[in-house]
Amino acid sequence: MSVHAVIPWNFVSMTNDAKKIEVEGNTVGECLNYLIEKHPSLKADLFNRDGRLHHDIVIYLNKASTYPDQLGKTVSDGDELSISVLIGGG
Amino acid sequence: MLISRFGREGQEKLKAARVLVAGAGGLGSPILIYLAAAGIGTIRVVDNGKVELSNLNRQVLHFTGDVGRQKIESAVEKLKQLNPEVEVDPMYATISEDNVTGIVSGCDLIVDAMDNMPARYLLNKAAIDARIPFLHGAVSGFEGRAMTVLPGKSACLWCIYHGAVTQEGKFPVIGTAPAIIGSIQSTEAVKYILGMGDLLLDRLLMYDGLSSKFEEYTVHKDPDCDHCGHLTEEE
Repeated sequence: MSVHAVIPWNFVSMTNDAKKIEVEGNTVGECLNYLIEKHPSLKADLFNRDGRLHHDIVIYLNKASTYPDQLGKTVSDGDELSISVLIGGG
Repeated sequence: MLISRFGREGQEKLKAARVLVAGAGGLGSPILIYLAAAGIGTIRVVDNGKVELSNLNRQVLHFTGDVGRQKIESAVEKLKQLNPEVEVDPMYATISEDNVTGIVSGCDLIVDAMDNMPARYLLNKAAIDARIPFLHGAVSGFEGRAMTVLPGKSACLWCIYHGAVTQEGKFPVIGTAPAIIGSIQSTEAVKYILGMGDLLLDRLLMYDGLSSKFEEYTVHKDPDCDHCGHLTEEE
């Protein structure tokens, strides 16, 4: 199964400059874990110590919000999983 | 205005409108310029800052000679030069729980040009309480986002982020990012006032300057939202 994770610009330094990465898993959470296995330094920026996504991280699946069950959302072949970081400047 | 279906009636609608622009910085500058140029009748501008040299890469309403002045003072001067017919209502204030209701009072819509999330949430909530639109915008680096909130009808800012805040401090930004997002917010304001087109409802528009891409992300009104969950479309 092919799912692509889209990495925000401020995280690409942790993915060897890759903006789009093929990941594996049946859920958003499994796909993120796969991504972290390949790029471990992402973990601290995505998850807190309790294993929950940081509040300022929003995951979109095929450009639709996955809230409220972000990590448990089922993914399918060809899906695109976008990691978005809250921005607050003005 | 020669745009189709706009006409004198549309211009009169703009003239009758009272718009709050919260912030006179990076986003606020293009928003204020385009709303004044469009002929919005009354613009209330609130800001608590003074012009600094480091602002000038993006805060195009302020010039080198304005360094040290209150931003609202500089803004009023420029906007009156641009369009003397516009009534500018300046407020030198820091938006807080205590004053936000008064700041919003009497306005038809709120345009978010803030530089921090806590103030945005206060405005988001005040807009919901007053049942007026909240036109969100935010920038960082080469990126920007915009979304329009119609209370009770579409997702609000809290529905997306659930109270999350970004790191405190400065957000370095290329000057064109707020120019692009602020222009989109101004367009949304004009469209709302005129009743034209499709607003950015339940659609978070993300601009990525490094990829030169605009992408739209679907968000949902959260029935359990702390800010708007109690509202239905009929209210």
